[in-house]
Amino acid sequence: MHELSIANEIFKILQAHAPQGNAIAIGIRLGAWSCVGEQSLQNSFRWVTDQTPFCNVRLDIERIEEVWICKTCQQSFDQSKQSESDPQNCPWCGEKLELLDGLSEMSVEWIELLDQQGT
Amino acid sequence: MEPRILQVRTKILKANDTLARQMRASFLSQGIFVSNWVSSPGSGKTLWLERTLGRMIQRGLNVAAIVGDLETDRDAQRLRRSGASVRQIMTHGLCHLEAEMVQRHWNHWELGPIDHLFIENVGNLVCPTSWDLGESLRVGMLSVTEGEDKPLKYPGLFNTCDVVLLTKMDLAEACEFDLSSAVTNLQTVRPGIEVFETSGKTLAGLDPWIDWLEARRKVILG
Repeated sequence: MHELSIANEIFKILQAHAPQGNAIAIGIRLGAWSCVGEQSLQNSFRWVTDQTPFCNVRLDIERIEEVWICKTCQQSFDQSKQSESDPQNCPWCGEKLELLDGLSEMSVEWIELLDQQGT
Repeated sequence: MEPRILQVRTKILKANDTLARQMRASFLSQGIFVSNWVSSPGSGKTLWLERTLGRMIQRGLNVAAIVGDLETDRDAQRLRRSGASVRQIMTHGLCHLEAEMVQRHWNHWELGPIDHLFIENVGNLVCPTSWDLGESLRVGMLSVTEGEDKPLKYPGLFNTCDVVLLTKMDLAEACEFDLSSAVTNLQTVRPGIEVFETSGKTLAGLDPWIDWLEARRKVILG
């Protein structure tokens, strides 16, 4: 249940950037290999923000999917385009595919704030 | 009231990463090489660490270990049989270690000079993935009883490892373990990774492993 620790860190970032409690949404990016369960993170976020000024903040999760590259064909493939029987090799030329980096990323990208008009 | 988007672009685990970076610098400045051992429960981490500690002490090296488990200090008791100083972190339900937990134990530990500090993480192939503990080396372990396809099933964790130890190799034949396939799977998720074949029972692979660790320590410490 490491999602609870992650939700707690997201909450701290939210507090630091919106100390007046005027946030309405927060956007995060999760790599496909970040080992984070989305529903579990949503539940954990609801739990850590409960009874705080951030209890209604929406957590938007953007997934970074696995992208494989064939250096021979200079093509990239997502999982859906890979051969089911031979997923580690290029479906065109058969050469070994390499993974694009960034799959472990976990970042807060943006916070949507509700400002008083004129501030 | 008007909505506006504030660009943040910060790592979620920035606080842990920052502390881990400070700890790594502090460890290295004291000549301490830290490794973080990750694997599933029952893969043979504790036995191999006990063997590693014992052999390193025989070689005149100063070693210590921190071990993480949800409950009990059984692993710390086992590791102390090697003669090394050992601390147990009980997480009481938490599925991984974090840098702050290691720091808290390290700061209250009266030790002499240390060459190697080993951190045995909570047995888990998912949760410890993202937490930097200030280590200079991440050691993954995969036992032959788990099957050769574990790296493909848990790519996130194996991708973060610098070296993987295949454990319980004395059982490989009985388990019909496909060594070549296991190595290929590891190379797929972490190209270029070092792989050692080991057995805590027969001690196969122990001396090459320790030679490699020592060489790595000397490279990192300059």
